[in-house]
Amino acid sequence: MAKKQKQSEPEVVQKTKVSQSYWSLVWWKFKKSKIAIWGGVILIVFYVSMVLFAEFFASYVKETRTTFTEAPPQKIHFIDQEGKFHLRPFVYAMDKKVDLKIRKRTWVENPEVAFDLYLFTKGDPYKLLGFIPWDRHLFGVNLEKAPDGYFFMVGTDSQGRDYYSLIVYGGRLSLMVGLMGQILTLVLGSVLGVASGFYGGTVDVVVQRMTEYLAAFPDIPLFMALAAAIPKYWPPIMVYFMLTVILAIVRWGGLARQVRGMILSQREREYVLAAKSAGASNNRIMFRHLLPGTMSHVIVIATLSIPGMILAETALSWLGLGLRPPLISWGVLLQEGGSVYAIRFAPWLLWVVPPIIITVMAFNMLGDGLRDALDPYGGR
Amino acid sequence: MLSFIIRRVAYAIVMVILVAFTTFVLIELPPGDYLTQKLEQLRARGDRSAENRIEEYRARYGLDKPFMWRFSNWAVHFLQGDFGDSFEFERPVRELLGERFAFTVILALATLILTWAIGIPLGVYSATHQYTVADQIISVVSFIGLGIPGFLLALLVLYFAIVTLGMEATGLFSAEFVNAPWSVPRVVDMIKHLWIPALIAAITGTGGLIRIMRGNLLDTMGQPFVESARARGLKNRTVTWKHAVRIAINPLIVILGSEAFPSIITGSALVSIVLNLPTIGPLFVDSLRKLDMYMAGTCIVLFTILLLVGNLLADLALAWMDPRIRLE
Amino acid sequence: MSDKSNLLIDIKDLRVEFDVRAGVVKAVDGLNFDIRRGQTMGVIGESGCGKSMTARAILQMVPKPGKITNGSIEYYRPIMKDGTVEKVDVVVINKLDPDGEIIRQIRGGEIGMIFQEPMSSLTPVYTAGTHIVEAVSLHRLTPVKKIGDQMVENLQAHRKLTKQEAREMAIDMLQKVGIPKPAQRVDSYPHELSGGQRQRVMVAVALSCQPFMLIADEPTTALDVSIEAQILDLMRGLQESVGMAIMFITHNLGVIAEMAEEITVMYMGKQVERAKTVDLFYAAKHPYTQALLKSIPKVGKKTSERLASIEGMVPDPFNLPPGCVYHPRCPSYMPGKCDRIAPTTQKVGEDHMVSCLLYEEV
Repeated sequence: MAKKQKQSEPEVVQKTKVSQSYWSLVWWKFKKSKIAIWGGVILIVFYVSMVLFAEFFASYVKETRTTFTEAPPQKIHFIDQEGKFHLRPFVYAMDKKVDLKIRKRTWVENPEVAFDLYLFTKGDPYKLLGFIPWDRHLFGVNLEKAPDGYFFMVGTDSQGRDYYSLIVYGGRLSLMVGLMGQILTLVLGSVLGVASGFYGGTVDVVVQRMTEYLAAFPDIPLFMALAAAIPKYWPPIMVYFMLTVILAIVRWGGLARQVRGMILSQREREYVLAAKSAGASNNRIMFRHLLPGTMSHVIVIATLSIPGMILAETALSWLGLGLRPPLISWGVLLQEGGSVYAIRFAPWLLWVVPPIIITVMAFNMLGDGLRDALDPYGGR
Repeated sequence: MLSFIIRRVAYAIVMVILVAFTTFVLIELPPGDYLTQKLEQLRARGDRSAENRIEEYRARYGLDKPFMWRFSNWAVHFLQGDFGDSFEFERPVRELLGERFAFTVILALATLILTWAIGIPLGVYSATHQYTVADQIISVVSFIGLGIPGFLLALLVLYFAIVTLGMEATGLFSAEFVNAPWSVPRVVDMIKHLWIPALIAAITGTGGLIRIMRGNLLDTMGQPFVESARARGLKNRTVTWKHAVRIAINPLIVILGSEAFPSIITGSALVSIVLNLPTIGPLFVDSLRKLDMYMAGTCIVLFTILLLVGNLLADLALAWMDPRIRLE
Repeated sequence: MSDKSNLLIDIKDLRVEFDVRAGVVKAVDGLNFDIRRGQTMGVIGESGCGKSMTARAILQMVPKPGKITNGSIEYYRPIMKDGTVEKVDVVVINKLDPDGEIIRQIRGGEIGMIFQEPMSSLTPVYTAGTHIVEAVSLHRLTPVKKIGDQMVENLQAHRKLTKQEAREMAIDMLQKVGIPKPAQRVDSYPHELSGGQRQRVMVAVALSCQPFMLIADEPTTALDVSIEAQILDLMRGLQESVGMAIMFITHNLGVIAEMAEEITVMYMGKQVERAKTVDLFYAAKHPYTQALLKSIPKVGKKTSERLASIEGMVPDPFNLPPGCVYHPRCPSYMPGKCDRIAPTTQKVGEDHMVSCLLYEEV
């Protein structure tokens, strides 16, 4: 606004021109929250390693069963029997032994036989991403050098399967159920919410009644009842699919209501009127104008709801109402691991719990950071 | 106000009927029913005599009659207080639920009181002492509590208790007290067992509460009436509690009624299963697994009624606490 | 004549700073004025010039991260006895503990404050009556009744009010501020009252404690013009009957002309001019004041001229211009002087102070 600066030197300090567009503000604010960044990083690591490349990160291919049932984690050694230090870590073989006191079979280390551990090792063959044949694993025993070797980092379950690998494979299903369930919910909820808020009238009333009806059910019992309704003889894949659908069915109402509320407050704004007078069709107004404005809030809500879905699947599967073997998810693993028996006799089976907790917290951290960032104009 | 209540109650009744109906439909969905399941089980065990009695059972429980008959029959009886019989236990549902009712309520109340007694003051402290060390600590702890689901925490606590402390941690009573008559040692024993669910409830419940209270209060404290109150010479404590918290707590009351109250009863189902507590939760899950129709149906309807009552109470409480709402 | 014997508030070289991440903002930078008992001092300036911060500083209520970093606010506290001033204590307000007992006695009880937005300045869940009762229960003792026996008077003066007495006082105050049906309105919630009524209630709350001074921070800005006129009348009337000082903060020149005897003009935290109202309006010395006066549209004046406005924009608080803060917008700018030297306060007439190099020897 400074026109003629009289005769003095214009003391204009040129600051580096920072983009003030909405999304760059959002990104800048998001970056400030270390917690949110950590959350995001953790999630990316988890999803990449477990969903996409599970076969690589796991030590064993999924169906591998051994005779080493309920074996504890093998200790990693650097110093051998004679006190010699090895640069490469190794584990000892295990021998069966019956403990007469607690009347159970236990496993003891056999220091005579040792297996070296390698990174990026050759193990059981598999198909990466479903079609790339490969046989390298992140770490483990080199099957070429020691074909009888084995390494169970977190022990084994009652069927002799490597528990660490199970956790990795379990992550694939658990993480995907949460994500896909939420995507479905998003689509269903946003579309119906927008339509309900925008059109009003009968559409609104019908959708409202439906969401209220759904909201009348307490959701955990509803999940359980719906899940219990899945016939037992259906193939596991169908069960998985139905579970995702069920999650979406129960949850879309909440999202739709939020979206509807936002649409209602935006509907009377000037930019909608402007679009209308420019001749935009209803669909166009709804999806090109109104919906993007609500998107940021919706994304936050969605992100913060994913942990709930993952936990729902975990709980359902644990109770036997959700996924069942031979499918592997964290919830299924908890069927065995989450019992008093396991706590007493096979506590390593509880290792499935930390990844679940980390995932939930990572989503919460990310969601919190997103929520703060998506309101870059507000803030304390 | 009265018409408001009547409308809500009427609406709630309609919802309950719909829910009950849906529940029964859901229970019917899986192929077969309780009896066919039982039959398979018995067959697997080599018991052949039951086959003959199946038809008898069918008739007795009316499982051979059409769906609508069974539903309306149950509904009518429900209104009279007869919730049907549980197939699994071969006893009236009402009895089974009644046995567990007391403990469920005790646990729920204890949880509620504990979380609010801890959560609100901590949340207020956190907001009024923003950015201090104490605030950071409280924030971290509440974040953790918020993130960990109850049943997983129960597992971890159980592990800790059993393995590290070597306690007999499941159930509500030690073996010798389970069926014993009430006595002081029994109560002491119960309290010794109650600390685990109480601890779990405290951690998970207060986490969210603290964060919400803190957030609400921070928002409220920035509003002009708080400064105005301070300008009138009121003590800090008065300004914070009598004016700011009084307003900031309103949304929490709504949450209390609509979410916390029902979820305490239903959500603790999972924790109860882990800890083997004699509450309604484990009974309900079992009934779903076994397709024990009347038990499952009754439980869901009861939960729903709780939810709707909770919502209604929350709305009433809000109207009482916030005169601005009463105009509607 | 500046009558120092009636001094109530004396602000000397006040500086209030906010230390934020981007730098230090000087919300108030070198303020000097005083207020006498019964006087109305107007403080005028644009948004962000520091007037509200000054008000809060007087009550030791500067919000974090702000701090009073320089200067002093002296409060010549009258100690009353039998309705007259027995003696005067000097209290340095900026040295008081902001949560302490003394400042809390002063707040509301001796210096009251009313705010700009009456809707959000009253706690939504408490009635008008509750607000007043709360205040008087805190600050008032039983009114000294004119009874013959001195002993009885003294005893009564030290007793706190009962609930009933407080409520009666509330109804009485509501009536004094002109609220119809006060006995019913005393139980009304803020959202049940109109904007004008709410502001009256605020005045009632403030005045119910019989303060020596009232700070009014833009009290009528949020109100209709007609309601505004009523509230101003009310304040003037009450002031006359009680002998209360008023510090009236606004950005509206017309309002301040009505209310104040003396006016302080602020710009960017600095005091640029202070004068008696008449002197200010007819003989403003500072270019900023003159520009403000020129920008008032005059009713009835037919002209094809554009509405006069002040050139330029309010500067970035983190990048204040060197020398005189106003110089980039000043029509009387003197290059070489105004952009290098910061002006100090000069006396240019009786009770007339200016901070401008035009009136300073440099």
